[in-house]
Amino acid sequence: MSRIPPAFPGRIVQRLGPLIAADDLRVVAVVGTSKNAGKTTTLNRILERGRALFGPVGLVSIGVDGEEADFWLGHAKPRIRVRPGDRFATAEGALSAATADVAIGVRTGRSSVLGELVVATVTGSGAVLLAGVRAKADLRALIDGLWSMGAGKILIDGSYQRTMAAAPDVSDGVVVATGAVLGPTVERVAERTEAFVARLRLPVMAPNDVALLARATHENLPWVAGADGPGPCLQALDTAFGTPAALSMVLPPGDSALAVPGVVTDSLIDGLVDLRGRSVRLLVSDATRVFASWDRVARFLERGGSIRVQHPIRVLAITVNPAGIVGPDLPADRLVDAIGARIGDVPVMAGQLDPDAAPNGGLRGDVG
Amino acid sequence: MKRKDVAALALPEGVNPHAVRPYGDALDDGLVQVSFTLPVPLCPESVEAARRLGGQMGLKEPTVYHQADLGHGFSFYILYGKLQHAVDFGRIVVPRVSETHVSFDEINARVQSVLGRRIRVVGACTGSDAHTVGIDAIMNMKGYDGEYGLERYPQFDARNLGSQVPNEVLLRQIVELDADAVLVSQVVTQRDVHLDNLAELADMIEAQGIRERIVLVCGGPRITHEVALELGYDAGFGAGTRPSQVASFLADEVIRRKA
Repeated sequence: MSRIPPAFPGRIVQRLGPLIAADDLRVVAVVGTSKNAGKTTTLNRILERGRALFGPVGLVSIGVDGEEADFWLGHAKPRIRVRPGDRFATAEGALSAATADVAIGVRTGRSSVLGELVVATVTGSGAVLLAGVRAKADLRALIDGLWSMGAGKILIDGSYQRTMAAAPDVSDGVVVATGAVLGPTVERVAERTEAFVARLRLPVMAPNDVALLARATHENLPWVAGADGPGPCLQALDTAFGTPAALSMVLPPGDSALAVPGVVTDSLIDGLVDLRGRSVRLLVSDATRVFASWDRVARFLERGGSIRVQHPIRVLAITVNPAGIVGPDLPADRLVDAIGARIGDVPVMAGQLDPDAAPNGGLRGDVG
Repeated sequence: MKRKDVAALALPEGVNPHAVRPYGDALDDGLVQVSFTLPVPLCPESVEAARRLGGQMGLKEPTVYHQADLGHGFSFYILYGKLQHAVDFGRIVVPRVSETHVSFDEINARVQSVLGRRIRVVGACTGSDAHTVGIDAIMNMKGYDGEYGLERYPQFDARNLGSQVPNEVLLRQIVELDADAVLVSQVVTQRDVHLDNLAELADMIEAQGIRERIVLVCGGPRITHEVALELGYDAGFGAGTRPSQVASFLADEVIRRKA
């Protein structure tokens, strides 16, 4: 059985390189809707076309990228090809897997199971393995290291559907990689991609809500503002993680705002949905704090609730990988059309499958 | 720097560390044994089918060494053949933890003397996972493989939340108990849905703003340190891990971050 579907004629909706070349996009994250959505391939295509536009590029991953084979399914993975002058961040132990010539420039002093996290410069072309980042603090340290070594543009490769790298305190913009691995039909993939992007693009809050969230964040307690003014939630933990009883006690009738310094979970949204006759604005720092399933969030929104973020996420483009990996491949042109019909204001792009690439390496050239 | 130093490996004489092949009767002969069952009755054609499958696997000179009829239309085969592939030891990167792996008493003494308080550990099988064998082996007082579990360590305050614990419930416990370390056990089945669950927990802990002070560890029969790295965990322990290995890693990491 061939895993390569018929060649897609190569429709180009937008070109990714010029989009990312903008000066205010110093750090760009490639975030996937799923594992095997084509994140690393998208990164490679950005690199191929972008080096001439970006100047020295800095690479880092929040997972493990550039490995020869998928650690779980065993299929071949796209390598990360680097050229002299590129900078990259990884764990020192991962350097032995590199075929490129490299020289360590910065040692962070931060450890991982693959050794110390370091930043290196490429002195001879080849492939590298990016690994070792466990937490946002690791990522920030490596980004600082890449800046200090003269990177002009930093690209972050994502892992699974993790959104940590999309946080506005890490990156300035996001490219979403999605594809047939999300579902068995074009419509299902488009529907799930729309939900993923909608979460990332939660709208920004009004200026007068910022102060409420700042107090909640400062005190690490949820704060509520209603007709009687603002105040902290006494049942802090219950409310932060959401129980209907606690919410009904602390949220006043009518319109109110609830500022949450931590995460938004299913039970919090369920509790808010159950509050009949009250319209709640849920305030969070950014969209990466929202973990409630999107169908729950949608129900909350339908019933008059809203979610507002202080720091919005810029979704720059969506790339589509037609390879299903564990399911059927889907036609790239139909995927692009279906996703574009749902998300009209973000460029959606795909390309013909690369017969020389891994099964998930399907975005040849056309997105660069 | 390209290849790691393989000169220090204690290899038999004549072995090329950059082209290691299976050993059968002589160095580099590539001889391997494979076994499988075919859904056909044993007959001369089925034996030939088995031999051809060996060739399609890339084995040179595939030979059916043993065959048996299993009844109900099935048959079983053992083949020998010469594998043509080799691996370069210098290119293999396997993450490993640097825990000192000392004894029960030494771990407790070290925590008491260096940290000066008990290490708070929360463990659970999360999501839909109901397989508690692994987490019980590491955490329960009775332990595993002749070793006590973390509940028996006087310098560990270990809380095993059991199975099918939603991520948000585990996160709540982590916050309420001000945990130093979190152990998550996952068997990982059902098209890898459990990996998504592990990834979500890592992001939730980060989004809650407590990742930097938590030692985050996953475990299970298919879990490795590489899986852990991919998912944003500090370490990943697989089948056969003993409680003292986990205790030693946790002690080292918590002390490193907080002492």
